Amino acid sequence: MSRSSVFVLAGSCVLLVSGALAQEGANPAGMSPDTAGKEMAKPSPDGANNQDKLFVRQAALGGQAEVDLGKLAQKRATDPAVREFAERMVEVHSKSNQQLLKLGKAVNPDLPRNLDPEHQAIRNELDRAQGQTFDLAYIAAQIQDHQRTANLLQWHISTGQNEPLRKYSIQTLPEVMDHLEQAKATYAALTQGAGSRR
Amino acid sequence: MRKSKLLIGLAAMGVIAGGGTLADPLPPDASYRPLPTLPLDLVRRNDEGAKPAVQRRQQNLLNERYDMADRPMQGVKMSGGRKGVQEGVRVKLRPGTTWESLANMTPEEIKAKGLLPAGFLPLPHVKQLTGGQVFPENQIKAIGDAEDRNLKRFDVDFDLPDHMTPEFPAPIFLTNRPDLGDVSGGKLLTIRNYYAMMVGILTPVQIEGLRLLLTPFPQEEFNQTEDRKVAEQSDGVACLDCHQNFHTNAAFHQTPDVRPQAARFRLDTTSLRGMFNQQIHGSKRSLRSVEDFTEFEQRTAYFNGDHVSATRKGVHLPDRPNQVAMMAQMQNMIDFPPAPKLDPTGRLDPSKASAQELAGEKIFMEKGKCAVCHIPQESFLDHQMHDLKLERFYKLGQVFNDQVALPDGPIKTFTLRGIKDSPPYMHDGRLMTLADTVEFFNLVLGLKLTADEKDSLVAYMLAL
Repeated sequence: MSRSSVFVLAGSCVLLVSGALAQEGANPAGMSPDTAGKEMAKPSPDGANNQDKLFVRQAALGGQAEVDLGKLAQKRATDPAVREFAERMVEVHSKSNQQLLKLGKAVNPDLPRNLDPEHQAIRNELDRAQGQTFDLAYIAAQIQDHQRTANLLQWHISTGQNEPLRKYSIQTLPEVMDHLEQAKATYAALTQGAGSRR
Repeated sequence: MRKSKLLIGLAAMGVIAGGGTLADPLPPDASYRPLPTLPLDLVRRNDEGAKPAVQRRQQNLLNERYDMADRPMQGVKMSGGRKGVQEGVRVKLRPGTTWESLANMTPEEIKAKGLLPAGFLPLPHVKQLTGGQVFPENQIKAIGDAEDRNLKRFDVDFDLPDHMTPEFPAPIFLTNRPDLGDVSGGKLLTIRNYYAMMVGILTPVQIEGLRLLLTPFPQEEFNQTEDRKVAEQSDGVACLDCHQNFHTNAAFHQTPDVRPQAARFRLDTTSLRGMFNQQIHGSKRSLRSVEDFTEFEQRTAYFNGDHVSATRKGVHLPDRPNQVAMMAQMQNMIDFPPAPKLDPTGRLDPSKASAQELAGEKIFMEKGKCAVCHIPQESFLDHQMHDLKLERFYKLGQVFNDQVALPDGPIKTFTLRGIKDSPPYMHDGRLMTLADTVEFFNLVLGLKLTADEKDSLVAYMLAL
């Protein structure tokens, strides 16, 4: 799927929501009594639960790091494939972050201002690294980040309430898994190994 | 120089990766079942309210993917002689493709163009995000009548039509009494009738094993707490509620081995026939004995691989040297149905088999590569798990009815003895007929079988 179609699809989800049942497959047993909805345990599709709120924060945190580290790698990477990957990350995640923040505004997330300590540590490491060491460290961190983002999206699809945000997760997941595949392939190419590519 | 730099680079990354706790790990409900927070009446009201939409959504998916019509083959019945075997390929093709055109495309091409038939993708649970055991109507009715025990959930119903499921009740064949043939008498074994049916046929140890396999114990959706999906407080479920008469009724569940919930795959109940020759157990866990499996099933089929949730619902931990051993011995007495055309080495007897069946066997052994894993003289098993890498053909991470399509990874080889008796096929029941399985492997293994060869393979499998 192209980047622009992710954007358009995510945008169109808002229109689909009216009339749709919120998370018709969800298990109401574990829902909080204050889940937004007309009746208790009958969540409204435009309401949001704690998981939605947490999701927006975590996804924003990861997305911000993607762009930040991507910009760095665009400048510093030596291997053309790594630079290309970084360019793609900056472009896709910038758009995706905007979309997330727009959809997530309603849940009033506790948004991070700066890089979280873990990504800051990676950033510091990358600042010191040169040449192929930089390329490898960047791609290795990207594999880990995209693993985590894929799992975060799957968790949100499993537990989120807000339909526009769930649709965002559903639309974004294949793209993130594709990035993960690419990162694994790039790592394998850089190391002349199979890496974790299937 | 280059090499040493690389090593330093890798070492530096290790420092990053291992340098303390992750800043933001996934929340606990990505692995653990959340504690219930609401009284049952509220949960039930809303589950029942959502049920029509849940069922409709699943039926739409099934009808999109498969031709579910009732078209039994002429002149073929399952081993009990009471139920037909469905014919033909039921997986629907994408517009503009044929089975031949697909077979001539590369996996990359099929993936890029999105042409993999949707019926080849993982099949979602009716209610993926809730999951749990779902029983077919025939089992619900039989256990309701016999034991006054309710196996009907208020949030979901079984999704496949009766003609796509195994014969019910299934015949029972015993390795220790091959002279008797089917000992079921056409009845379903229950805790109320097992003794009269089996005394004088089984040993005391086997009878006790059978009693335990028929005794209901608390389960995630069927228990006495408010965190259940059955109207009344339930005594639970028995092993043989899914493995009816030691075979299967196509009751389904989700794998206990995968998280998060949206990533869990559906599990179609496996037949217990031929357990005596099966060396690994569980679709992903590869447990090495049926004793291990019997013991650990209380943590998995019963409680989703979540021992935390199990503790408050009443976990049953069978005593290993006594109870488990007896349950295991009973399971090991269950034979395959008779296959009169097979010789003692598992090969067709040319004096009994038809020309088409023999042609099918030849393809099975050679061009079809089936026997690489389904070894005839080993009950069509190889005691291994294999990864078919189906994800070569589809884009990862697509979501269908709340299930994320992910690679299945290695799955154990299932036997093909008596295979006509156990639709639907594959670990999640994603294929409805034997002809579907032939098309599936034709594509996945790149076999380029002709139409005649495909028909011969189906004829051969019917003889197993």
